[in-house]
Amino acid sequence: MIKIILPGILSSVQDTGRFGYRKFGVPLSGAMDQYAFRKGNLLLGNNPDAAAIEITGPGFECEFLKDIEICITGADLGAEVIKTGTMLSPGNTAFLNMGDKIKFKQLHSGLRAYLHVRGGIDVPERLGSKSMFRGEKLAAGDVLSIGETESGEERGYYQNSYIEENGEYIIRFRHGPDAGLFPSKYLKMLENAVFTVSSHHDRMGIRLKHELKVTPIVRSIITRPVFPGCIQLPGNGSPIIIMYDGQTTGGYPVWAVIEKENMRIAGQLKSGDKVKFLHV
Amino acid sequence: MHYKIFEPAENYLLLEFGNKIEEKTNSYIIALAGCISHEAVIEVIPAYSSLLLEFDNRKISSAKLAGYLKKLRPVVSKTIERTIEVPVVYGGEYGPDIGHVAKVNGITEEEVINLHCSREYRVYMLGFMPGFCYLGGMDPRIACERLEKPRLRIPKGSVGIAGSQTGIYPEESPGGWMLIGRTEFELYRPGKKDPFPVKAGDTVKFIRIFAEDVIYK
Repeated sequence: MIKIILPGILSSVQDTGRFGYRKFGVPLSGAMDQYAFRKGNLLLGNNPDAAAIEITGPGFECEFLKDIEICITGADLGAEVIKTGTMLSPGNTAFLNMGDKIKFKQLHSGLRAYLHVRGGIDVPERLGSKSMFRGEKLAAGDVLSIGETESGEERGYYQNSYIEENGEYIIRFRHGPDAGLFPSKYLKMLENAVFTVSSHHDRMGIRLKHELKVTPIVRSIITRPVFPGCIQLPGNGSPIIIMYDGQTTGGYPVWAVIEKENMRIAGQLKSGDKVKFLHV
Repeated sequence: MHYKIFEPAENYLLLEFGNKIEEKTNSYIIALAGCISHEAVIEVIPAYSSLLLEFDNRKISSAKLAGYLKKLRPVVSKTIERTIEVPVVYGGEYGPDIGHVAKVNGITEEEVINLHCSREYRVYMLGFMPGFCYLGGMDPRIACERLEKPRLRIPKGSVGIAGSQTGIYPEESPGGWMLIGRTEFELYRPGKKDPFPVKAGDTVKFIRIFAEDVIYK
């Protein structure tokens, strides 16, 4: 078992997501950086969808109540074993003893790290997923069970080089279903613009800022399903990237959709990061 | 029925059936969603006039999947399948905005209640939050714009009006709808065998009850 000592800004149990209930308005949920999440499970020989703890920013601290093999992926949040000071860098597995405590001390790159344990975090499934949702989060004192150790062998290789230390990213996109509602001149301006991640970003969505002076007026659309990676352009001209806890439906025009392989970047964006979009 | 098909991502297809909200189109979409059965399809989400589909693009190409969809011949059932009665306590502390809705429409509170109860509402789709139903068919004589400043906390089960729409809040949340009543009917029942008792294509009917009925039932 694992005991949460300090949850930090936000930590939650996440897996690949909650499929099959979006038609009832239930968000997909799941790890914000699915690439890092999946790699962590591969490195430990877990099932690819074994649940992990998603840690947002530094400040998280926990204690292991049994001997365990762990792996950290995603953002580099300066994780180390408290007693020994051993650094736990993203992509490496480590054996810890019962009673060992680890903490995530300092943000070096990215925003979200994944703490995987061999066997996965074992919490009851709700609507087919172990992911926390509807605003749930881990709190100090929470104790989480660990799944049965699986026989899988450690495999694969992980590097978090897609996470920039200085937070300047190029994100590939394709045009969304409503791109045609915008003047082509404006679309070009968006493609050339440098966006800044605002302070309004969370597991639901990421609001971006830009310096463009004009905002074209487009008609609203009939509410339709949206999914993680859709970039909406509301009337105020500030794009919103829909993320994994986001609403299942939306009425703002969808200008663009982030390419699936680049969603891992979106999941690591934090306030002040710069983003340029590249049309594929 | 004709639709435009988009590939908004490598693992999604979006079918667009035009930019109108029509019962006929929506019935077709719900019927189509119901007959999609393909091992590569992960999730199907029907909406007012569109349908989103997530698929495993390692198992099938988008072109092949589009071809599969074109061959489907959904049967739209002509009769209303299910009518769900939702008991509502109108006005007072449960519907603090009912007076405002009456005033802007130049009618009495009783008339607001009667007009709201007299219609049958089609569930066009679910979305926004777990269990929330987008209902169509509200009488335009009780239409009312949203609050300028949304409330931070609207109780679960609140029944409200926003523009020409009416709806039920499935859970406590912030929001700007004009509140006219409250129901104990739960749209989301966590842990139950059927957590979402109302489905797209159903018909909802509001039944007026009184606070005493709820307390002494």
